Amino acid sequence: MANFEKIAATPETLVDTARSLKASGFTFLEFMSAVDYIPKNKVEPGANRMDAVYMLWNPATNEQKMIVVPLPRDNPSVPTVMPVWEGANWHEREAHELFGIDIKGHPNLRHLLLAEGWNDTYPLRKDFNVDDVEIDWSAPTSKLAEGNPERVYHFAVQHPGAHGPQGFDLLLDGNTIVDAEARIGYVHRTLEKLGEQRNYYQNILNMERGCIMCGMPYIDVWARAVEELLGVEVPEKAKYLRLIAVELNRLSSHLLWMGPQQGGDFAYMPVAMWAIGDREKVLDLLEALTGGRITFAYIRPGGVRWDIPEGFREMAQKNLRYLESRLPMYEEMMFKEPIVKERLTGLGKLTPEEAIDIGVSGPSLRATGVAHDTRKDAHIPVYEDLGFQIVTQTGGDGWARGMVRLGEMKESIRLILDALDRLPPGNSEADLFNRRAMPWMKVPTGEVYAVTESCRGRLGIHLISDGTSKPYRTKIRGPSFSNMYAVEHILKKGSYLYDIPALIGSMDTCPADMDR
Amino acid sequence: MIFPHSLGAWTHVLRIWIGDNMLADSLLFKLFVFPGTVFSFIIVLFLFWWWRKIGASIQSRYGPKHVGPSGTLQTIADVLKLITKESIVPEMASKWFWFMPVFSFVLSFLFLSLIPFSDHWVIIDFDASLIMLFAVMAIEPLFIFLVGWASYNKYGVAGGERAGIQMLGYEVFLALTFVPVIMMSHSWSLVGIVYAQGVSPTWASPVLHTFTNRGVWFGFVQPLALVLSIIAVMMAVEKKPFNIPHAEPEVLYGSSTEYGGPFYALQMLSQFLMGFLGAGLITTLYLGGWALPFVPPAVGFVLKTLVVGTIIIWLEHSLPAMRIPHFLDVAWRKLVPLAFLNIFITLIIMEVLGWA
Repeated sequence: MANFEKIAATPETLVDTARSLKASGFTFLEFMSAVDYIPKNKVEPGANRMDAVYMLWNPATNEQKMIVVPLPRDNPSVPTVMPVWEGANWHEREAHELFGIDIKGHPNLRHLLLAEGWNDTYPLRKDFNVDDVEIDWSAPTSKLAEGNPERVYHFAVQHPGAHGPQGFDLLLDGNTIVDAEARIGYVHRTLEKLGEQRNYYQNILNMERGCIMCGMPYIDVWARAVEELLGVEVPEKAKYLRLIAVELNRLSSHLLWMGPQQGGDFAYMPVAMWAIGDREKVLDLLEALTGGRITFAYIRPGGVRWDIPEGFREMAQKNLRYLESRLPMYEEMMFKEPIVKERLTGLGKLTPEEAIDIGVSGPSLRATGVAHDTRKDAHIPVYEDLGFQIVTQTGGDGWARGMVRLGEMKESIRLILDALDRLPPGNSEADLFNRRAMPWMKVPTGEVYAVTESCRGRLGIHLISDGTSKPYRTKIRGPSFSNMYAVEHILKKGSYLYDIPALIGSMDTCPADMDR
Repeated sequence: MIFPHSLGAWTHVLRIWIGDNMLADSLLFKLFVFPGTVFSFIIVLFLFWWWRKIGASIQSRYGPKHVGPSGTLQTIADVLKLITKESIVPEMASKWFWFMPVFSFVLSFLFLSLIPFSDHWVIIDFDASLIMLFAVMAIEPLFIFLVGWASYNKYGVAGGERAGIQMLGYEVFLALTFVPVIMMSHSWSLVGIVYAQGVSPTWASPVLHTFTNRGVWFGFVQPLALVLSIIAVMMAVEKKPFNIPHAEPEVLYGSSTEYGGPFYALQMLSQFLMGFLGAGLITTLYLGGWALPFVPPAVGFVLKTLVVGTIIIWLEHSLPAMRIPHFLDVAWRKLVPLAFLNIFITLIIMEVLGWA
């Protein structure tokens, strides 16, 4: 049983199946991954195979379908689906290095998340033994660096413009970029493997480390995936509190984006510092509500950890009204300032078709004029009750992405204030099981895919339970993974060295989110 | 100097006041104390602190506040820290690696020697000192490029190339903004230009001489040229929004990427000195040089320069950095025509007022 439809295919029919599904409206490839079944597994006892899985989404009807390609464990091989969805590129590389699936016809099967010199051991296989790992640290950093290491510019971790441990190897002609290859994986913590080794309760802490700037949607989607398997209905009040917590986190993330990230790209320090200062107000609210400022562990299967604290409503109204009064000023300073506007206009332009094809989501997708927000598409509780409006722009460039985020901040403030006004009475947590026994909680066998809109885009968790207290497989679809691929795609189309920081900044990629 | 020597002890005070004394005649004193080495170190240390404090107050921070009163000694502490750090020279770097920052420092001192702090407190002044100054400013980017090249770093070379791009943007514009001043003063000498603004050669300060018959600070008759010159000087000394060579998010620290410790301190020193002198040039050309009531001329010059410098720092801290194409576009398509227009306006005004 699963909350999506599964379509079986073989390596021979895969590309045709994919083509026909894309033609029937499943234009968005969420992820490509695999599930490893060793004989002693409890999901399908005795199965000895590896399933290559392709999760598809139909944006028009909000249907999910999954292509499942059963493969032999000893020599799994599938053809690439890059001719159908360009965004499959990195997902296939990931499946190649983490599961050892050979992708036929793939242009570049180098390691993406693991170290370049990692030997043929595959961490996400069920029989992986960490003692077998050997790493050749002298391996070249990228395909570009293999040919001409002297000419390659490393715009990566050492560079303040790279926004953290992510970056590119570049070939330049003056300031023009001839070729680019992304280098990510510096903060790859194998969250998916960790997820399989922790129980459902511990995984709350595990999951929210998926993105350090925006952890709340991660635990929100995790809780909803587990609830779906358990068949638990969350109390109405908990739904409102979850919305408040998630939107507060979105506010803090977008403020961080506008200030040090996008403002910092232009060394625009007033905006950078003022936005950081205003973010403090949001963090204070998060601290009052959840006890934490960066990681929260507030949302858990069945509801939220505790009810709204005394005085929170007044504090929220005060801080958010203040923030609301500051936003027009930021709009004036940031998005109407001629120098910034010149830098952002036309920066990293994406067409709607391109964006969907790559799997871009979140504000970057909505900036191309596509009105898809998972909060509305997937009917996340109480968003529609509060009259949630999707913010879109039509430019598809950096400026449009910024305006979308600014609009989302306004929308978030309104949502939180409305949710506080309409907060229903009742429990903040479903009375479903003994709290103290929660770590040993067993979850019924099943498969589920839960999605939400994180601050950066469409965040999904594909969860397979084998009836024990630990999940059998947790696949995280981090939105930044596909968004970063879009950055590489834009750079390859032709860009300039001086545009890279602003480009990475405007896509708002989070290294933790893309590496997992 | 014509002075009644019967004034006794006051004579000395007055003589020092206007610079007519042995110290001002001694080239060594000028070179090493004022306005040379010692003074320039002090002013740079002060400016660095001032720059940080203004930046902090614009960004709603405190800035340095712990070392010394209001953190005034923070810069000294930082310089000491930088000097005691190990100077790392990259393996593949040129043998000229550590000469380059010294050369660009020497260059900024050459700039300093041309700026008249008063008609006595000036190290070199001759008929064509403004041309000499242009020459010094034109060589500067070459040294920035060599600094990057010598360090054998890709970002160093990129930063050096960008220094060249920056020079292409501002060099012509900078020269054009100064043309109206030369036209009005009939002089290429910086001291001569200050004299032409009605500042008396001998008795420098009193109010009477600030605005005399024909002499008037060029800033008042040439407001457009003043604004354009401030922009040109900001371009020349790489202040935001024109910080193309050292744009940190794009090319790390440009040509200076590989320089740490004392080299870095030296580079910061020459950068801030250039900034101060750029503001000093504006003061000389447009704001009557050292003329300021009730203070000694050299002090008057420094105070005015600090005011101009503060405006530049203020602009620097409140504006984002430009992209290269935008910068070149603004410089060539908008500012150069404006500078030409200003020359034209000046011609008309001079014709009308009969100054030609």
